[in-house]
Amino acid sequence: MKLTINREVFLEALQRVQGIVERKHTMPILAHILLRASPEGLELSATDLEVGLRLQYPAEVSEPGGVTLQAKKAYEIARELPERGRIGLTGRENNWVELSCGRARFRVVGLPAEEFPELPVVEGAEPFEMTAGVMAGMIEKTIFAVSTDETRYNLSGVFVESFAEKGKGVLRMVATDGHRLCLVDEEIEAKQAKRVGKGVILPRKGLLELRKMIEEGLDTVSLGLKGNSAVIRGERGVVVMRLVEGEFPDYRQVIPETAGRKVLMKREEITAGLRRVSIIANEKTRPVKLMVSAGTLVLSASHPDLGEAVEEMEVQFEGEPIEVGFNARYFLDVLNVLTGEEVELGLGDEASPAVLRAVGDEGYLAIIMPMRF
Amino acid sequence: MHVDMDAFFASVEQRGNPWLRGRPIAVSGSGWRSVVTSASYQARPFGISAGMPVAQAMRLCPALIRVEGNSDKYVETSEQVIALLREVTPLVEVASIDECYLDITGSLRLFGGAEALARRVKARIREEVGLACSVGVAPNKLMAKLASGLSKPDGLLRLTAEELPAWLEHLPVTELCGIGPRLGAALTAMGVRTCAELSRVPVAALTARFGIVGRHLHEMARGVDSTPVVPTEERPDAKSVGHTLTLDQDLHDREPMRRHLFRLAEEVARRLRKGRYAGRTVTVMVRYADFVTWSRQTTLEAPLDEGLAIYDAARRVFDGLRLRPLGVRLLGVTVSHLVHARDQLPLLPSLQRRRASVQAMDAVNDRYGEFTLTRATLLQMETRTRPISPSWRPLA
Repeated sequence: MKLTINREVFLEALQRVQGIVERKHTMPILAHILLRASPEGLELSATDLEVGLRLQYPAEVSEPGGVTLQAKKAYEIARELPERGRIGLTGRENNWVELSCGRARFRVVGLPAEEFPELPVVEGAEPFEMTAGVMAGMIEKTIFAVSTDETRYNLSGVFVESFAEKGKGVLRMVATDGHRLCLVDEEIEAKQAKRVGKGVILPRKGLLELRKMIEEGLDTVSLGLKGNSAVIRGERGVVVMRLVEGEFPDYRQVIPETAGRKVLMKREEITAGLRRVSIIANEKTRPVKLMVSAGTLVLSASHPDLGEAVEEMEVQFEGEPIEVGFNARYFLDVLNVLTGEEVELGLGDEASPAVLRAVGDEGYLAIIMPMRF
Repeated sequence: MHVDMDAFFASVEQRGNPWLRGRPIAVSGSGWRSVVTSASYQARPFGISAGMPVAQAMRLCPALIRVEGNSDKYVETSEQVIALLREVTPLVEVASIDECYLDITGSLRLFGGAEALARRVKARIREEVGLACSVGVAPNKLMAKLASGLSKPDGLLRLTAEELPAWLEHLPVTELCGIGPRLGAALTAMGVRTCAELSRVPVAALTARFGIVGRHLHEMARGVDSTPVVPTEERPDAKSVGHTLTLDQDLHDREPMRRHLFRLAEEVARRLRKGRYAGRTVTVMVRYADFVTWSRQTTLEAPLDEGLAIYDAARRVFDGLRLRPLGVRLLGVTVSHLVHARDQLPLLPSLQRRRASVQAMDAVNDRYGEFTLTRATLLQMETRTRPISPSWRPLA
């Protein structure tokens, strides 16, 4: 392999793949990236076996071929090479790679290109397509609820399904960590309603990569599914991810049919109030208490070592007063992604789930389980 | 004032069984490889002391009677003693299952002086609990502990500020609580054997050799100690909960070791839930036949308080360990990074069921004893009992 490439382009490419590269060093090859030169340019691949990236960059190739480089070292080298320089990359015998720029020369060890794991190819399946901005919004509204508990593998991603309802297509995303759940719907073309089908779980890390691609300026997301892999096409290349195996819990079961009490409140007021009061609730484990009575909501928190905080606000509510404790973080996560002036909180009793949604946005809801206090 | 129960576990056993009285007995775990946790005074002339392997103790004294420890009984008795002490003053610091520090400054007038108070405490513990204890009265905790130790067994010793220098003059430094054999050896190497000698070493020389501890040593040698009696209920929260198990025989296979880890995880989980704690870091400890000890840990995103989840984490750590071929004699599981009770209610039905089953198990075991209701995996294991750790303290 022999090629030359712009230092800036190479640096950007290396930076882009750092997030994917396996850090735990369970398999040495996963700390490497694969460089493959062809007449079309340079193709970079990185994977941790769960998520993979394959990106194409312009380069002048004089001899096609493949090498691997240790991702972190390659990035550190490229970063220090002279700006606006041109980097020469040459593959030598026994997996040595020569890297030169200006008067600097590096000879670094690689691993055989054939040892790099093949990224799954997802061809043939008709891709699901969606405006990138809409997709990004859906990810934003769900990803924070994904479980980070390694022992709950089936909750480690966002559940995605599509179906037809009243002649319209719907794409739905659901995420839960076992304590709260977020669900968002977006309308899609009816002809696409079957393309995602009865549901797949996209891993959190893969969705974060997708979000990055969208931020880099993607107009349309094209999602292809086959077997246990999903592939998303972007301008530069593809993100390939292994679907999360395991069964996503039946989320319909936990959505309360009707909420006994409905509280209407100003989004900004409740957000700011919760932020303030939760300073005292602090640690993840202490609840903020919500006391609702006719026309009034009182937020309060106390901590044996710190003290207490109380805040009162006007709300629209008629009915039986109630006191419920919640993890304020769960509320704030949702409030941060809601838009509109008013939010509606549906409450059952002290031990039933609360439903939080923006007034006028039927497509999004969050369910939060209370804490005992 | 320092109150130290004499040969606590052994005396509790002798109290409950007349046949054991006046005989050399040793309380230990049920395995042959367990260690003596408490030896009666009749066993001590043979050189038997706490921490000695049972086999060695039996060699020293073939007539030794081994008694399997009964933790519930000890905890119950200890709580009885603590309750009595709290009648004298609310300032009771429980140092371990069989010793307490009391700040009696405010109670002196009420009880007619320190000695009268100490006699009264001893008499009540003898009458109402049926056990002997040794009591030390002194101006501070360090000296009180020294006094109770010097008066053992069944003694009472009061050290006044005036008498202290005379007592310390010829006292070996290792008699002081906090100066162990190693520190003692280091001091001997400096030509220091008694407290008086230690007090004459310049502070600068001590700090040069021992760092910050040096200044502390200088004060100890003069009988100075300013640490207050901290009532147990004001103690900071626990930092970790752990259990270890000395195996009956060295194990080489992972499978039986995994089962032991599971049982340890269940025990740890149970204690976490009793104290309404959950923790994020799980540590596995492995001690080999040559006493070389390794521990590895993993930190999770979510705090755990269920045995199965703790075991899952422990097993992942354990499976990642390359075991030395030597054989393993002790295993331990510890959970740290504790947070207060998991009061978050679960949303998913599957998690609700799991939580409910754990709660049901706890309810049964609270009533009928540990491991009455347990996981089937643990059924084949002999249910071994072992005495409670002497560092036991009542849960706040």
